[in-house]
Amino acid sequence: MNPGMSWKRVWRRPDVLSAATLFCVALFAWIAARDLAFGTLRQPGPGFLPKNLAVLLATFALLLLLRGLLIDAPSVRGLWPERAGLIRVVLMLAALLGYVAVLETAGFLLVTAGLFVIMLRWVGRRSWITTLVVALGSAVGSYLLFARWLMVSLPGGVWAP
Amino acid sequence: MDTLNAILGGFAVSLSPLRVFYCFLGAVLGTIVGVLPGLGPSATIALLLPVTYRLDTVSAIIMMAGIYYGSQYGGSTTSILVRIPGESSSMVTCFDGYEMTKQGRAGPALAIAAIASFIAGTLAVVGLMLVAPPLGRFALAFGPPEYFSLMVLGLTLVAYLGGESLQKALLMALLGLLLSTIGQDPVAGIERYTFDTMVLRDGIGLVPVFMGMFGIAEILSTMEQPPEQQHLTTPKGLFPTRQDWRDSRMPIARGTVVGFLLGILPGGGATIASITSYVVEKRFARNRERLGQGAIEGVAGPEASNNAAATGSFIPLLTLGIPANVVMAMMLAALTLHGIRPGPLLMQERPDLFWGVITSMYLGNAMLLILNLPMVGLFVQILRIPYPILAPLILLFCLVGAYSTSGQVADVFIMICFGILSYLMRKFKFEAAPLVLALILGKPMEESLRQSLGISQGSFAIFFARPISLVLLLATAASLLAPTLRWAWHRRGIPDPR
Repeated sequence: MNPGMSWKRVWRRPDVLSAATLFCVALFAWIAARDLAFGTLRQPGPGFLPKNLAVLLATFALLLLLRGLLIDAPSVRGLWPERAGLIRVVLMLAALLGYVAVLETAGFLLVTAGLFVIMLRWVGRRSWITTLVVALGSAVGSYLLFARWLMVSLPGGVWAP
Repeated sequence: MDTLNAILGGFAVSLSPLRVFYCFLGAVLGTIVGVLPGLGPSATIALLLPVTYRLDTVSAIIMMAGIYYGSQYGGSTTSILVRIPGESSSMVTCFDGYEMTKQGRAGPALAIAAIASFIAGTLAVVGLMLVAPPLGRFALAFGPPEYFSLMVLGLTLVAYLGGESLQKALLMALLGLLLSTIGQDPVAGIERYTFDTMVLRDGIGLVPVFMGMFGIAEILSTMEQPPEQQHLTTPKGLFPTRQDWRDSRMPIARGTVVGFLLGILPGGGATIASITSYVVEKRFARNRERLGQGAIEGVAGPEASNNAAATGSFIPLLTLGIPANVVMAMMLAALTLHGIRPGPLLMQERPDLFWGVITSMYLGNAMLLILNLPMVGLFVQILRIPYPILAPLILLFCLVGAYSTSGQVADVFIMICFGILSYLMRKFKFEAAPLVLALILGKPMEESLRQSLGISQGSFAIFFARPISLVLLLATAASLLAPTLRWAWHRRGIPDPR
């Protein structure tokens, strides 16, 4: 590390940040597996592989951390898209998580139509007419295709036809 | 001469109009379930099992076989067009297939996938006819130690799938292995990392992982651009050029051999076959440095391989009565339902069934080629839909696919989590392939390791004492040493022996 370079900047390097995250994952994996029997090399128990893998993951993560500390790299901030792009990505993720949250209560048809409205109108910037036609057509069409024709069990929810 | 007579007899059985119809029906159904994510051939065959009870045995098995190899044709379509693997065996087709689509070459990619599948499928049927009995015995020689060595060899392939950084590839492989330990321990049945949830008890489903890591992550990355800039290149040309043919010849040949041999092994299957074929191309293809950037070899090899594997997996079932994978287990159930016990005597006791099913595969493969080639033009039209409209449609496909695998919302949540993980991995320059490969191989590897040690009462010598296992471990050592030796050669100024 160059003298005078702040730790704050070092921690914003992509490799440093990802290595630290992976180290935390390894630590968590080890702690979560602490009650599992390790067994012996000749007779491994259920904790044998998870614990060994956690140690290996932590070791390789530390090696990456070391490399990240030694080699200068641009900040992680440069990896993210500009503001409008980031809003679209976050909006899509929020719509997907919302979809999961209400799918079983509100049902496939309603939630799918809602997801399409968000994706088409606010993420894709389509006109209201296109949005409504595609949203309704896709929700009803996919319900007929998967639930009726292919007999896939989809949640009906309160709007079950 | 006996074999020739038997084959002719088989054609007489399979070419009757009714059986031609069932073969066609199976091929069409297979293509559809291959295209649709989440609805795999095993689920379809399970659904159709009661229906087939009313059919005669040969027609029923011909139709089911058609569904299985037909799904291998269909699985590549969504991989190439929208980066969602329809089947796990089409996962690697995403890498170069989707890159070709982005370059406006979806037509040649789809066409070569269909043609490679046809050639491999047909050649594998020839192999099936000629070497079925001895190869069946070879499959029987594969016990837990051989499996473990095979899986270890499979894991070294990570080194070739890693892209720029081997260190990051290893980290992802370790994370994949760690994720594969989620669920019940394969020997004692003790729960690991399930946090008292039902959905994690059987481990993480592969379909939601594939869809999240490839489909969702791709859409998230595209959404960063303004809607007016989100588009896939307009397709140029529907069929492969002369150069494409030249580049695809050897990958198809190599993919066929790899797929056929791995398909025979119980548990090997089409997924591992297609991954292995991709890695073989990374090592041997003429344009290997272009693999991953839209090289046709990356589509031709794996697509040939997964079809050859699908055909090869019939060998242990028909000659030994051992199902090589879940689909073959369904076939075994169908045969048992009809009062037939497949095994070494099937060829003598029911030659009409044995040879009828095998010869129907020629017909099925030809039908699938005829069905799929004209569809290329139709499928590439999908790419003309503006991406902001296509994106929610792809999302819908992923959501239904993930939900239908278990009928639980939790699987959809898992898919989204892996989508976010893969999106972040792209940002931080980590490859998805090593993680997915390790996730696929992790569980069977642990199972075979612990079973082997159980057999040998804790002695690791079992892996070196059995010849097939030893050969596989030597191949592992060679594949690990090869990059080091190349590096050493390079440093000394000695030209690379390749």
